[in-house]
Amino acid sequence: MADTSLPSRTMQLRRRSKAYFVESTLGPLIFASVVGLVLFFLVLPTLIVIPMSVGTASYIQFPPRGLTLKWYLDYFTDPDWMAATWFSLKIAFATTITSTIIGTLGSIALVRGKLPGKGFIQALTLSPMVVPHIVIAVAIYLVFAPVGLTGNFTGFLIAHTMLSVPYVIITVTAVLQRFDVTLELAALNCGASRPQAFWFIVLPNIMPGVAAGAVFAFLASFDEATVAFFISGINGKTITRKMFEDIDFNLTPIIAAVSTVLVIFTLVLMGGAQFLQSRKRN
Amino acid sequence: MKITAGRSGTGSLGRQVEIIRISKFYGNMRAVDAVSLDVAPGEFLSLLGPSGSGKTTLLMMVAGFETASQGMISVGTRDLTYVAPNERGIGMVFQKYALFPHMTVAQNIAFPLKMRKFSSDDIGRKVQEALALVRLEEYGERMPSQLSGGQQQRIAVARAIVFEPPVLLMDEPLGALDKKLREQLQIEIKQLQQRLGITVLYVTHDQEEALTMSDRVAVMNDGRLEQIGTPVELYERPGSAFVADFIGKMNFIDGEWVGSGGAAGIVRVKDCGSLAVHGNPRGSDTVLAARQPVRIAIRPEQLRIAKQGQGGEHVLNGVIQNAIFVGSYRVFLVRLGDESVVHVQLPSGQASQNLAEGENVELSCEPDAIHLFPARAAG
Amino acid sequence: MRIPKRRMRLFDATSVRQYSPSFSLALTAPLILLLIFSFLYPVGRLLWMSVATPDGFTAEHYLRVWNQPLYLNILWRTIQLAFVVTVASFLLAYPVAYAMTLVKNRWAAVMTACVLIPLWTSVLVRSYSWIVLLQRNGVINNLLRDSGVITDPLHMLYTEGSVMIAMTHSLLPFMILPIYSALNTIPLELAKAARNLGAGPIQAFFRVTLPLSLPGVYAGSLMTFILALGFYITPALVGGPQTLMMATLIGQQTTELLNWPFAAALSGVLLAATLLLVAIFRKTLSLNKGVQFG
Repeated sequence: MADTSLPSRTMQLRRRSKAYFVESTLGPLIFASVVGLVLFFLVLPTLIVIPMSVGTASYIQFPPRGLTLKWYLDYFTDPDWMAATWFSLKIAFATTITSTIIGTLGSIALVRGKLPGKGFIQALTLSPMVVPHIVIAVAIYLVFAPVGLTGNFTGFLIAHTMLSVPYVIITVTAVLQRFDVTLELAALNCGASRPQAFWFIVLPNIMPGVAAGAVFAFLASFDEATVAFFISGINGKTITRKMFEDIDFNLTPIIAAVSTVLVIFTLVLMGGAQFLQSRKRN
Repeated sequence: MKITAGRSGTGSLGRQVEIIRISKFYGNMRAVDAVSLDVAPGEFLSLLGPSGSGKTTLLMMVAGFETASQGMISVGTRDLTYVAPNERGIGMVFQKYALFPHMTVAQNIAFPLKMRKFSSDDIGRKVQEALALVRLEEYGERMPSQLSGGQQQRIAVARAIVFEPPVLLMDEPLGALDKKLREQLQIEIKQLQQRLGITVLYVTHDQEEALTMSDRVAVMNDGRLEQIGTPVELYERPGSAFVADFIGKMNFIDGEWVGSGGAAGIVRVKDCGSLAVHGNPRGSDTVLAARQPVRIAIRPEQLRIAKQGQGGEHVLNGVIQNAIFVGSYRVFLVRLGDESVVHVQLPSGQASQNLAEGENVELSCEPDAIHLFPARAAG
Repeated sequence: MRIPKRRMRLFDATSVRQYSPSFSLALTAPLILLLIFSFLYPVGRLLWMSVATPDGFTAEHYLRVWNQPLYLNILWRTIQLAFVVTVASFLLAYPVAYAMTLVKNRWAAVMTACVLIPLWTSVLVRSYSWIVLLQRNGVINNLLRDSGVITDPLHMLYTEGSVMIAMTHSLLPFMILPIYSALNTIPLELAKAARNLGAGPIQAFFRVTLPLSLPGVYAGSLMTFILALGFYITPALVGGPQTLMMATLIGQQTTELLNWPFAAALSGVLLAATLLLVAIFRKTLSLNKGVQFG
């Protein structure tokens, strides 16, 4: 990128110097290569599972010789894998609903309500994100195990809702703060009660934020590994726990197939959410 | 430009609004201080004042968005002071239109009817009528973001009157529009109001707008009601220096009282001369003592300029500092002997053409056109 | 006829713009109850366990951490690794963030996608991928051997190196995004002005761009460091017995050794370290670019 704003004599001198060569050609080339390498590094683990999932060998072979879908077939016909997948999906959907509702209601109060100790409540709602998951996992196990809340749907629902709610609160408070209060006043003036004003006027306009929060909540629950590891049981095991076990003791390409399915599922979900958000903004 | 208040319109929706000693305190701050006023059914009353005068707070209390600290508000025979804002049955137009962005124009206008559980046939009909009233019949299916500012404002008005409320509140609705559009909408709003016979409380800081549209104007300052009256009353007989200054243009000149007591006297302005005035100062009943400082106020168009020596007995001496051609009239900035500058407005014609900058002139005025006020408090 | 005055109802407020305290409390009740029951109480119970005995309080479990070199080593290793990972992330993240500010829209979207994809990929999938890549007969070793660069496979997996690589990879997005955000707020003209005044490109960068982007660097570094301290899944799967970290140690104490009070003490130490860093984060960052409530 020649810098044409310098006086021409300086430009002549500069053109002849080695520094100029470095600056205009070699420098940017090195820079672009570094950036490219880092980006490749970032996506490599996500992409590598795809070719690994279609190779015929049951050991690791790259590039894969022979293509087969048998690992996918094994995945979809294995009762343990399917149970774990279904369990994780069930919990994630339920968590999305509970955390979105609880989080949205809480956000309304935090942004527009008059609460004593609001600062304390704010800190409390975000603290599950700050405390290391291992501490939360161990603590929850300690309290849930004696009352039979481990290894079942209810225990997971409670734990995952707690972990997902901060995401909902972050997105919904952001969108609520941008919401023009005058619209709600206009709704009241038109004869709407508070709940009616919320349902007909506020909610439709904050829906992008609520939806974004819901998607984050879903992902937070579905991908959650540490707490799931501790409170999974024989009857209630998440896909993350099953993957952990198999990676440790039973490393087969089925895991690659499972991983590919997870990756595609997540990318479609998040990509769709991003797309919808940018559409709505226009 | 003044829109003459026509004969009472064809509609008779409006009810009386009574505001009785309304106050609003925020801690020690008195945003509204014991304001009382009555609005007759079908009357167009403006609340006029600078920012911070409490006019918007007062409107908010009538709307129900602020609760009065003291006093009472009633519409017709109904005491509304503690009624929730969604149960007051009053229409309101907000400053930034507040149209619901996710609904079509028709849905926006239908919303008050929907909340009041009108049948869908009725809703459809009334929405069309409202659209016709603001002359935007074809715009029902558009989204608010597709409309211009002026169109959005008209839709906001349509939404506010669709359920035929007895009172309409308007909070500086035309502030965001350019001058030509503002003037056009002023006429439209006024005509609409007269047609429906609806009572309107209109908040504005633009005195020209208030004078143009209102049957009466209530001037507020610092939370208190300064004066209430018809535009003509306020313009020709301002009750205080604040109102005199706020409405229209006004020249203020300091002087001292000279001459016999009674109904007439003379005010001598230092180094400039003197003018004959009538009566006691506005806002005060005391008879003036000799040499008491006073302030006189004269409208620029009431002053007459004469060349030196031709002014008459009571004149003020000065020099023309600037002569400005405005179009239909000229404005002369005249510097008086005491270094103050006075604005004189004359129609563009021969008389004003002959006056040049730098000329020594004499200013005179009809005694009746001079307003007398107590001297400005020192400091 | 005058209708008599009505009392204000329970849920009214003096100003309509804010909901009344009772209504607000009703809205937040589920949230608060959830957090108390599933977060405050369990963590509190755990910490209680680290100091409570039937006969009173004891500091023996914390002292055990302090006195035994094994545990101090683990603590130190965790901190050290977190630090190294943070520095490595910074060195890799800055060029990427800088490049993102230079490119046009379409490329910026592609780069953003590259940064977000690892974030959206489950940590289990990522750990599995690293095993696949770094194993003795993994992808990298196979490629190197097939192309003749080496004859014996490199020992990469189950070492501190593999843990470091995997953690850096996980945390890189948390460093890139804040730096990118900070760089975006610097007007383009500043660097150009510096160049015009005679500074070389390197000088312009170090004396203008870098200092102005420091808030983002700071935020990203602190966040990365805090997250690195608590990593569990990745070191457990990709690390070996030599690379025990605080989180995996805690897991071990509970699942294998069932030594809950000691695990609780270790948790207390980890929590204290994390909270200390969060406090530093909030205090020294004068521009709070985080979440703000109304």
